[in-house]
Amino acid sequence: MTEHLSIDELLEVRDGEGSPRARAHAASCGRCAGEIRRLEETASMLRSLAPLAPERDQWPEIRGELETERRGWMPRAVVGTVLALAASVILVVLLPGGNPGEAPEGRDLAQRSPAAPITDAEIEQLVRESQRLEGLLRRTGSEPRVTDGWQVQTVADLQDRIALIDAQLAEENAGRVSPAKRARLWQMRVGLMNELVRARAARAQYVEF
Amino acid sequence: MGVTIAALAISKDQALISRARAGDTAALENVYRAFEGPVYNLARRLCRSREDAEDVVQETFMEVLRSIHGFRGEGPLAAWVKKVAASKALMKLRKHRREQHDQPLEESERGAAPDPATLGGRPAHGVHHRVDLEAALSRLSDTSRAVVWLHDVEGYTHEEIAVMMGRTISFSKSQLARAHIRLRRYLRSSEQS
Repeated sequence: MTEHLSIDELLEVRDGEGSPRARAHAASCGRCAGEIRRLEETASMLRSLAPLAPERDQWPEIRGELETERRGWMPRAVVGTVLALAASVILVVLLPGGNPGEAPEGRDLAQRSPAAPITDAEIEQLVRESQRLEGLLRRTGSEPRVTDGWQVQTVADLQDRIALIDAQLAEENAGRVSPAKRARLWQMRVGLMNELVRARAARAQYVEF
Repeated sequence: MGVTIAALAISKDQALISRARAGDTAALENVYRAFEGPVYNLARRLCRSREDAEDVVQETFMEVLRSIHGFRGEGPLAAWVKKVAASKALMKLRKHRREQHDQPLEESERGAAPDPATLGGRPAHGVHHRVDLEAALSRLSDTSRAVVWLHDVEGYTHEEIAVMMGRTISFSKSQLARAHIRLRRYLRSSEQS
């Protein structure tokens, strides 16, 4: 009872989480209960800050850009469908798992448990697999433009996460990435690249219909 | 993105969403008008400058309105727009961090676990405290500010924030703790000065 809750525990209890021990302590300790109340009040104050309003109307620019895209779209609708169809055929043929006889070892490594150590040679395999997937995406050309909104979001999310990993890998040259972290980052990159290839294939197939 | 009444109404207006999906310009503008305020506010709270926030607004609506024909209503429109806006704003922050060669934020940057007594200070109330809170918020690091805003104001869970930021749940929790410690410290020092 003498040991008060840490800030992490206080926030967890505030958010209706926290361990039974932390909740029990908060229920019986006036000091920690007071801290939780203050954390709630800060959140409440943040929520009550006046909304920051846009200083200018951006609709004319957005409408103009959409209209420009739309003008470019219509005559190319058929071309786009053919390209998307071609892309999906290429992806189905080359998709990881599409041809089990050619399953690269890098893909297996990407699925290995993070707890299992990875050798330098295996990291190089992951790098090569990542490069292979990059090449696959390049060969399928630009993304189809007529797509499902949620798929667009999925692809954007995957691209964001890959960009984040790349930013962390870029720290490698500065000596800020340990070998274990480097291995984990390449594992994650190959995993995400696989997902991206599949998501792009799904988008291309969606456009076909 | 505090969801406004207009945004809620649009989210439930299936006829309007259908027209927007069909590319009706007036309907697309209605969607923009309903969400421009909340999207700008979210972007402005996460980004450092008005210009960056406007870029986020532009990018968000280009993506939303370009893809709305594929929106099938699996979730509320407001949630989708908010997610796109948050992703774009976080992308903008990451871009700046790369450009400025910021120190990477390590997973080990856990929020300290101070004695609650060191957090002391009166709860914030009234107009003066709101001004102070705005100032304190602006003094947080980009990451801490984004996490505290997304969690405490927008209602995202640590799991969702971790996915959006490409980090771990414990990273999100530690950034939230860090944000609260610093907010409290800044507010207390402004009270004393």
